[in-house]
Amino acid sequence: MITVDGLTKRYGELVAVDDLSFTVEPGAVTGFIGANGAGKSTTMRMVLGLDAPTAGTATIDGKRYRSLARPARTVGALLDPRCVHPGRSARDHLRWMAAAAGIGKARIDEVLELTGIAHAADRRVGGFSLGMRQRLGIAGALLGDPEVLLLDEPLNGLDPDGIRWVRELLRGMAVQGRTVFVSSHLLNEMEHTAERIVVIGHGKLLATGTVAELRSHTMVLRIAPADPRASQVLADALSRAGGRVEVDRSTDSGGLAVRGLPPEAAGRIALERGVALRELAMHDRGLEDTFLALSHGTEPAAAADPAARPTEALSRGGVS
Amino acid sequence: MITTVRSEMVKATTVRSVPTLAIVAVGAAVLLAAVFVLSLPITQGRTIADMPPSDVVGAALVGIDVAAVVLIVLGSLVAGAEYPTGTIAPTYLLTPHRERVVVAKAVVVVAIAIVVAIVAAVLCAAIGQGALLLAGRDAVPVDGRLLRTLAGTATGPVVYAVAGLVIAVITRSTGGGVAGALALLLVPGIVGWIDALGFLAPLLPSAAVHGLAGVSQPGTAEYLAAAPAALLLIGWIMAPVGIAAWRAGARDV
Repeated sequence: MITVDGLTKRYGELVAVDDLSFTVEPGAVTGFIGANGAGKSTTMRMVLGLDAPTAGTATIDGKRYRSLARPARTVGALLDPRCVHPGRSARDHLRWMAAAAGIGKARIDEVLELTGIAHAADRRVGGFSLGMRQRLGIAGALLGDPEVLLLDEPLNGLDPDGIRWVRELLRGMAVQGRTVFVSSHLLNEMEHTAERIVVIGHGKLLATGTVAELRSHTMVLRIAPADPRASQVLADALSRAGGRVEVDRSTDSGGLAVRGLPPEAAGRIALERGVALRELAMHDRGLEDTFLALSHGTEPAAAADPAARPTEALSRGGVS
Repeated sequence: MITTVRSEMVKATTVRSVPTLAIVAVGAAVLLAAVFVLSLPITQGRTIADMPPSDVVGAALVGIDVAAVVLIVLGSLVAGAEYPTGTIAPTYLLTPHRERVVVAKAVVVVAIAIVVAIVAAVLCAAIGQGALLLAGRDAVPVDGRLLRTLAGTATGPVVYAVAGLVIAVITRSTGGGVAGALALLLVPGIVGWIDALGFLAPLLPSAAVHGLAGVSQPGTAEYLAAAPAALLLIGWIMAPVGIAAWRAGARDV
């Protein structure tokens, strides 16, 4: 498990990471989402002990990275696929890594096969595409068969087959009970890969929770009673059930926009109140719109974690 | 620590630049030794047959200095290449105790430099001996004195290669390492020109090298006996490596 607590990084006046707290649990792929410059890479570098935090702590299974007895067997990391010497072959790149970690040569062949670059193992990395470098970087991360996998933008440069391969790899690792923490700006792809999401903006935590939880707060349920006069009764009932209800006053249709309630619950409430419906439809804005809304503060953030800010994100109910 | 040294040795031997520089260092030393010996009649105004044999071999051993320059580049590359290629990040991820990485790099550079410098010293001396034989003179006897001269002279490239490595770690640049170590190589000459700096002469790496080689004369500014020369040489390797290790551990990558 990765635990980030009050993590802060300042570069002079610039605050790159600002009092960031979250946890990454084992058994699930956790996506790390943020715009360019949001502080994702800096956070990951602090977790990995490459950069020292100005304040706060980042631990892996309760220990700082530098205190890990066998770091390569505990954490596999890929920060930048360009971090390879272009004049060295892929196999030799993995050889020095394996030597540093005290890992046998047999494992090098295994990860080369696993990542699909065995055919290019003896070619110089300078001739590799970005996608092949990503695969090599992932091979390096997997060398120690680690319990924690931490990858920064591993999908960059990969073709659709490569993206699918990474997705299946990460899910497979999570199913085995490992901790998988992956940053990406490919939000819709992350939606298909991650089960949990940590969203940051300007170095601050915006939201954390499952993908479904985050999306549920920007999903809008459109409800229109057959009789517009029943609109207020239905709105009150939905609000009492925990929905955030907006009445469409632009027309006389009595239409409602409801957040925070699944359609089944809303339909049941309408039935109990004897309100006939002419429309009941869920409008899903997707993770990308959810992220944009969170980044621009245009929607209250969803948050399953009490540490998430803004705290209003936790509030529900009320008719506006 | 052994795994880190092994890893650094794999790194050094799996790129073309390091083995190439090692070969170039030997070749350049031999070439320069030949040039020095062949030009002795011009520079000294005497034929080789008229010169003391030890002076001829001594002139040939100046070729070692060019090996030192090439090994400075090698030492600087071993550390400096990690920064532009970005391999320093996975290196520190695999070995979070960064001081071990710096020490391991120093061990690798010392090992390579010792082999290169000894081979270069032997070949340079052979050129001097060959020139003597061709001039109809007896070769310098291969005795303890000659061996001490060869071994002592060979320590010079080692200490300067380590200096290149250390400065490259501190400056995070191959160019910085090369420039800094070349400056160190030039310091003895500057100190020799300025009388007020004469007190520095016995503290410089060159004094340690000359003391170990037994080529400095008692009573001269830089003279050191073998034992203090050995201590000084060890100090010139250990202290900078320690400083570089501390700096590597204290900074963000």
